Amino acid sequence: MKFAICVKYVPVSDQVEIDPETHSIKRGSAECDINPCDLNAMEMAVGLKKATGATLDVYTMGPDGATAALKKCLALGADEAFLLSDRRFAGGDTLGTAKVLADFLEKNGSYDVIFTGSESSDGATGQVGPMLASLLKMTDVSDAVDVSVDSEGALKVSRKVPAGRLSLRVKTPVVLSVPFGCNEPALPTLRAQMKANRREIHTFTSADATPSVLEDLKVKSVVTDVFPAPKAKKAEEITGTPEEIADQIAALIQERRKKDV
Amino acid sequence: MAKKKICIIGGGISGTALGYNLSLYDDAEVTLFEKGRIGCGTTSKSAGTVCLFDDSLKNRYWDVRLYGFETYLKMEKEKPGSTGFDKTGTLVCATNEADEKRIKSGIALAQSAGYTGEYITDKDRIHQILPMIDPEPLLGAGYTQDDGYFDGTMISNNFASKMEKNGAKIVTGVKIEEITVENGTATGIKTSEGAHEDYDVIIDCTGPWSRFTGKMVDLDVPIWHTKAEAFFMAPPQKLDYVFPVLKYPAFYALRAGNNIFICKSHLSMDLDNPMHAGQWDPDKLPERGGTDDYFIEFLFDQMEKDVPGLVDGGLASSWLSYRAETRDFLPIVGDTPIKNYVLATGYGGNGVIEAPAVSRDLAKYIMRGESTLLLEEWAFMRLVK
Repeated sequence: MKFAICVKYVPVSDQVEIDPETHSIKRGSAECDINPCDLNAMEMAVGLKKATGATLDVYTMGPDGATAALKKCLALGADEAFLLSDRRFAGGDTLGTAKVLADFLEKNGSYDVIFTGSESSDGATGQVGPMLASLLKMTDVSDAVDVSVDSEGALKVSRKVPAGRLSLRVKTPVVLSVPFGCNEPALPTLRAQMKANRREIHTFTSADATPSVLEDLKVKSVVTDVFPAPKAKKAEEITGTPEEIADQIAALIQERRKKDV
Repeated sequence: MAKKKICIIGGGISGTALGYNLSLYDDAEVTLFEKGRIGCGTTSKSAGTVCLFDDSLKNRYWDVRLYGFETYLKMEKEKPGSTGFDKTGTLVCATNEADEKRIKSGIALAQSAGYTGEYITDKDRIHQILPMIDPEPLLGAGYTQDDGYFDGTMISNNFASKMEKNGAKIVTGVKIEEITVENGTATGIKTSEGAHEDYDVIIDCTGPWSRFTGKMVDLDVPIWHTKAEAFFMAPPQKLDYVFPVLKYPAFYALRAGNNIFICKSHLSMDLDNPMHAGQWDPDKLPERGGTDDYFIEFLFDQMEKDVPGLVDGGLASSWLSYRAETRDFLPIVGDTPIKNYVLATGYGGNGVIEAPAVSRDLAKYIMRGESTLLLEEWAFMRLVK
């Protein structure tokens, strides 16, 4: 089997600047890292890779600095890394991003499973995964929290729904969007990270893209405004001994985690 | 009695320790300006190790080390938990005869001051103290259970609180934008809020920012930025033993929660190597990350050889900070060619260790004009000869 994962290099600091004209984040000014739920997707992808003996390619679209995200994925178990980087790719909307990703995913062969995070921590649209599925004519399963493969090669997917979990049996090819917090992402080891840092990153530009895709990157959705999220009005002081406070915080985290999954 | 008006620029360990010592003089009127929060800059990224006998500071200055250590112990005793002290002890590894000699001298000095210390050559015992390391290549190791590491930010806030109690003023979130110099004498400052204030003495405690602060008085402060690249490793097995501060000549490690903090030692930095040192802008440092790939290579080689139990640990996070180093890796303290413009900067990786003794002496010099041997040895002029 052949798997791919699409990850995004996102600002992780709250010290980000917004371009007043485009209302988008000035990425050059922000400290970035791999999108949090992409790490959950990576954990799931590596688990399924180990179970099936599949290969796993990682893709990202972004500036040169995004190679850091790719190297982290290589250290976590991806086999090959692809950076799609060109000014013509930048500034697009989610559909444009999905089209560029789909173009290169298609060029590199047919993937049985494509993993994405459910949404990015910056744009948070949650659109690119389903768009990829549509463009590549693959089955779309959003909010996949667990996956395994059955004896006939179909995927058994557990999907988060408001009432709990939904178990699906899905034939490949499929795009799985993975939500934040559904598993515990592994950390790259020092040994693996060092090896990954020495690996070649395959870089593609607009010159490698399909011309018709480039012609079709016209932005169809525009961000008209951004504003800070309203501050939470509810705050509760946690008191007690350090041990009691730690227990209460741990319980809150567990409770929140259950809600998220 | 006319009070001496003193302005301190910078609220890290240097500025707050000095502010506290100055506030002990009843004829000092001290104002400290910090553009961010107290202890939030380089100090916040300090490992805070104050070890009785490592190589971070020559044994020549052992009293400086002891004074710092005991200052924090007293602070901790006054208000338990206020310094973040973790009494893990320290294991200092001897990889050559010179190290061995230095460690043994340090142990003698520690014992002289009433602390424990032993030089261990039994490899099994070394392994028992720290199972992660490979003791075979070592000549031996110095070990004490009496020291450990502190939290630089907590200590800075402690000093800040004490100086305020003594009547000093602390202004945070305000940047010094201009220093007035008249006829070669610093006379006042202008803040980012537009205030103009006159001072009798202005002291630069801005560490890695000193190059920029010095430019305001047209002074070339001879410091370089070196990269303190730190990694937080999740050990492969849960730590169910006391992990002492671990010192090798090229790097050091200590426990940070469930992780291990590892950083290249400041004395191993080559000021002529652009990968190690240069002139950078500390304001552009990210909160975390920012480390160079070369450092992972360096760390891996060192770890695989010396601490094989950690190379397959997870890389949890990393950060980069800039140390302010001078050519001789000692701070710059005292007068400058600009009259009434004083430096307490360039501590490199040793701010937490050195600031208490330096501040004690510098405060006395500023208030009474009495110098000390330490101030004479660490004076600005030694670097421009």
